[in-house]
Amino acid sequence: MPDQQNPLRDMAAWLWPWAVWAVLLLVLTLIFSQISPAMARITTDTLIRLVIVTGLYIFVGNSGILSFGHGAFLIVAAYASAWVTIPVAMKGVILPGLPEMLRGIQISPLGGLVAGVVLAAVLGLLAGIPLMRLSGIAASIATFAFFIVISVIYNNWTDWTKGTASLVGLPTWVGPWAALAAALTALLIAWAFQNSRAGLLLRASREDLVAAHGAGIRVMRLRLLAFVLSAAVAGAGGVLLGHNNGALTTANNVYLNLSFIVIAMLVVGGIRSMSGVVVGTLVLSVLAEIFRRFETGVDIGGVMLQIPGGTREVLLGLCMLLALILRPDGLSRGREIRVPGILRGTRPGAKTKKEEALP
Amino acid sequence: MTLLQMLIDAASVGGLYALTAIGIGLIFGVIGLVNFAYGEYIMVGAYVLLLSAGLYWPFAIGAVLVFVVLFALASDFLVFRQVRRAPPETLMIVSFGLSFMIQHIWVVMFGSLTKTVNFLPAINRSVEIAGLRIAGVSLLQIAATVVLTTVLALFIKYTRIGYQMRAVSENPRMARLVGVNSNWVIAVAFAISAVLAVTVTVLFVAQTGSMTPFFGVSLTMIGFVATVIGGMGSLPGCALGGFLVGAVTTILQMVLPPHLQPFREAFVFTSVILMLLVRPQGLIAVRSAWERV
Amino acid sequence: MTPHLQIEDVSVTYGAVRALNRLSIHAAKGETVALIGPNGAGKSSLLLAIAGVVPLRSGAVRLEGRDLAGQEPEQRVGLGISLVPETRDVFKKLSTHENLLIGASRRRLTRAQMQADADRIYALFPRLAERHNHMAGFLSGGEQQMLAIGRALMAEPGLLMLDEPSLGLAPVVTDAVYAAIATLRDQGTTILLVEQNAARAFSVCDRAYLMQAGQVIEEGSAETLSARGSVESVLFGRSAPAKELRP
Repeated sequence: MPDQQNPLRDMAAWLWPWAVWAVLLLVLTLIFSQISPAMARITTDTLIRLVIVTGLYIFVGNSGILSFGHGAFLIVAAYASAWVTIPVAMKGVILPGLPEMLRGIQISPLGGLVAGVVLAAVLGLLAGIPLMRLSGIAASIATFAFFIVISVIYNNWTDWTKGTASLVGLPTWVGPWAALAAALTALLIAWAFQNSRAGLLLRASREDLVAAHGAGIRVMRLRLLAFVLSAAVAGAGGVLLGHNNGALTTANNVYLNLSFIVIAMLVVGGIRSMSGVVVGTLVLSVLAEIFRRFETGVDIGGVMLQIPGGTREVLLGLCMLLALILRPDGLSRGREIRVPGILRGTRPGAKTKKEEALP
Repeated sequence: MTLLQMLIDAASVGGLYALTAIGIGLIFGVIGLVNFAYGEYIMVGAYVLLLSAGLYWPFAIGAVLVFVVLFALASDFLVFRQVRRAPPETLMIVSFGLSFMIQHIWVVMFGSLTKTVNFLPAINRSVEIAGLRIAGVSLLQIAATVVLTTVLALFIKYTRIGYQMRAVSENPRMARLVGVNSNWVIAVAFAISAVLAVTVTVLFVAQTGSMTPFFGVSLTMIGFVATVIGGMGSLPGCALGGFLVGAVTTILQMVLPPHLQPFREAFVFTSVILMLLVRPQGLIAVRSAWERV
Repeated sequence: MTPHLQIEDVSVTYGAVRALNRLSIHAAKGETVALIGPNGAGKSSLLLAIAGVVPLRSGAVRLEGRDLAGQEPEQRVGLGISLVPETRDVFKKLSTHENLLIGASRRRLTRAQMQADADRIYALFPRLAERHNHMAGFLSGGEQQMLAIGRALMAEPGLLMLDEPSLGLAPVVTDAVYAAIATLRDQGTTILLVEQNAARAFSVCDRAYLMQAGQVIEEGSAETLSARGSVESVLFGRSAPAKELRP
């Protein structure tokens, strides 16, 4: 006999894997944000990165296509929010080249977030239309070309972006709690998408493109949908980034390096699951922090240990390579958190017993 | 006359891009690896040139050649061989990680600021041929492209290791089953791609005289894009793609107003992405590419 | 006397599926041995294990008494083991002649020696000589099979393994392929032949093993096996009528 319908329990079962991570992140944020202001900043940075990695995951994890281009959405969204939220008085001084319409306005931080997310989504749509026509590796390469296009434009568009100089004056409203809220929302969006009809169809097409076409799945549309959603979430991460630092710059390959770290987090955690996103982000953030401490010098039993500046990136690269060689499916191995039996509609193993009972 | 001048410029820039694309396309063709670290072969060579620029120039080039070939072989042996059977996507991320790591090793060693070197300034002198003033380095670029692509084509067509390479490219498992030492064949492919990288390094450094640990990225990108335009996997396609990107760059250099010049790279890549709207399979659709990708 | 090829207690698994279960067979030098059995009996897995493509779960493959553990597939070709797989896998974008030359990859030969060896293959399969310049992808199925055998022979194998050489071929072509196999046998090559067409296999082999579910269930000469009728029962499942009764 099938169990009775219980919408509340079904909902709880559906949400369970997300909820487990949400509670864990909440507890971690609660603890670390109280330790010290420095720790609170690290917590915020990590949660913002989690938003960005989640954004990347929404596309890569579901479509199976690697994107090297999501850095572009960070840039676009961050600057869009800057244009509308920097105080009018400052804008006149810092960005005299900005058109009158933008120079004269100043909207709330939330408005800036919306502006950034919308612009990232629109750009995702425009870029996605040609990019999603390509398959596999060619698509990945084209996403990287797309990133370079955006990065070259923002690097040289000095009237609007100040180029490689710093653009300052962004209201710094992002702290651990805002970042946590954003991270949990991003993860919920990712979870909802991967379990939606579109997400499941897209995942099916990842396993076998030819069969998916044969079954009438319009793979290109689904990919585009995932790309736009993913651009929007990554864009939100970009906005948070700007309002956390209070300044933006395109100098020194910051976005290229950030793209690398974000991809490394996704790969180390495991490209195929939301759990991989969280695990990869947390693990590499902790490692990066440890390496950073060593760069400034660590006192171990009276001996001052210091590694040269820049070694952090080398070590992170090494971690990523080792993870790929030793554990190509990532730390999560593509698995999600199991829903406990109480929440599931059927008892564990009940299904197989039924099948065996058939004559 | 300006048209001819432009053609020569396009051919020389395009030649450099074609060499880059062929180096990338060769490795992709043989083991299905999109090698981000290819730009780093070019980059590390430049720094060897920086250190050895005081030597008599053939020795300096020899030092670069030895170092970069060993470097490429080491990257294959230590990294890519460990993931030989992984899907192409994994290979690509591995090379991406390796490329990032090498760049930052170089940052630690040399700093991230631009270094300059005056290597073979003589070849930047212009020569006058039939009323045209042509930079010596342009002629060298064209000559190097022609010579190297011809030699490579003959090598792949007629030598024993050449057809072994084609066999490994088509069916690596069967190649081993008939006794081909695929690791050796792949190592040779890496060595050849390193030689192409060294050529690019020497010509590039002689022309610009400057380097940063990141300058390989945009050349790799141009090589990738040329490979995609060429249809992924065909060497003539790579060469064609390289020349095409070179031609677009040269044309943009001429027609773009000065205040848009800094955006040239963005225009080049955008035009390429748009071209793929029309022909997603590249200019030359290679069947093997479909089998692979 | 040590047999040319000795398979001892070999097990092979693919994940949870057991393809070979502690199987032992042997072949004397110059002997032609057939492996007969239904689909999924593990015949191809056995050949792949001998060629070194599939790792052994347990047991050993010995060539003239020497354990081949740790030898890569390409090294085994050098030791005289050549496999012609069921899928033939000629290099489609290489010419017929290049396909033959690549078969000699393990041997240090001059161009003249290589040409002489290729000519011997052309003598064995005159059809290939006519098409030596064609891309192998454009050859017919039968020609591709001849080329795959010829390519394997270029390595001068002491042990030749053929996986379903008659699969999908017209009877006339099968005749030509089997004539070549008989020639090779008469020249003293040890042959391990996997074949669904038991009658064909019996026409050339000295001895045969009957395989089912990864194990040898019977062994004997062609005459004894066909007389006992066990081939039919294994291949056509006559001994297991229960299956046919299922709804």
